[in-house]
Amino acid sequence: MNGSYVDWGVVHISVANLVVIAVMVVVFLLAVLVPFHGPGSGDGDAS
Amino acid sequence: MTMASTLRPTGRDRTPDSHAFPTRPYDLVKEFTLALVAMLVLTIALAAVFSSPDEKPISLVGWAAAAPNDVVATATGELAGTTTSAGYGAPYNDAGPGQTLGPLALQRWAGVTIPVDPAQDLVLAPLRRSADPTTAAALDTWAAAPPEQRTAWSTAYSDALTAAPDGDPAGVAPGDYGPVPVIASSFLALARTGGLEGALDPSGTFYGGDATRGLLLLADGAYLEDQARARSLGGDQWGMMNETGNYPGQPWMWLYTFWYQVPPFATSENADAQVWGLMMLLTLGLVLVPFIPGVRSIPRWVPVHRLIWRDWYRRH
Repeated sequence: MNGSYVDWGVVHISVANLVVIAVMVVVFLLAVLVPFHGPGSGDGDAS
Repeated sequence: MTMASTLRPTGRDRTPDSHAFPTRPYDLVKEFTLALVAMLVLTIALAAVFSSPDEKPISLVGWAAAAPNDVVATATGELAGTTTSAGYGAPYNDAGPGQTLGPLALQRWAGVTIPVDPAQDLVLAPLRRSADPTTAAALDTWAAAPPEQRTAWSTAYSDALTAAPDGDPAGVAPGDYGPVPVIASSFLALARTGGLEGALDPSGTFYGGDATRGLLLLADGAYLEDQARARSLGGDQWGMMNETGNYPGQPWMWLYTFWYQVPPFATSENADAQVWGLMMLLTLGLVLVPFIPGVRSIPRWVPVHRLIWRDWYRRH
């Protein structure tokens, strides 16, 4: 059966696809912004 | 002495020797194992919670039960040569040019590799197996008639079905339809028995595995498209991106399916070839990004990389 859809002009997108896209954006932002901790941070330890 | 050490690049092109970089121990096997286990647990858990779409397949017997008038109209259309498959072109026949890209007849280049004569292969041949004398007599009358007469009968009956309330054969106005009404109703009866799928298989066996003809027939009717559109799977509904129900589909297809929604592709008979051509052009552009002035400078204007390697940039 048909699911839930959002219509915006020519755009017709399912809520499920919107959620997936939102999650991908959030994961990308987290990957960029969340700092790495521990010995592997930055461009590596000078040894 | 290596080639690298003999070359002495200057300024920003200078690349340090790889041994000069700082190093640290790293357990790649541990990371791989942890990632694999995490993905496995996540996959099993998500599959257990959400499962997957489970739409019942649309069969010819299901079609006959749900939309019998559509079956009759489609069989008549096959006899009249007015269905999609009758004018499709390659790879089934030479009836149409198919998808073209300007002067390039892309679809025709592939040739007729799966020859299908819709009237003969989708309607008449399956009915020949019938032991019913009325059906056999109607088929004989059809076979003995000249092509112009066959077209006149089937076109007249097709028009009469369109004019009848709900396309119901029982409501068709009297007319000269020859054997077409008997053939079409026998075809519906065969579809109702569940024997049509096997009869349409070119191998001739009930358990054959070639569904080409069955799918062509189904696609020539209105029922399949109605079912697809009810689930937002139509080409002009961004259907390429969608999955049935509330399951996520293929959001990465957004650009490909986007072109089908806007002019001139939305109204073009050659949208498939045109959208493909445009996507190939854009893909070429993506491959050639480093050589396109302006586009190749975008990372300098939108310095996301400076955010990713912000520790390094802070120190240098």
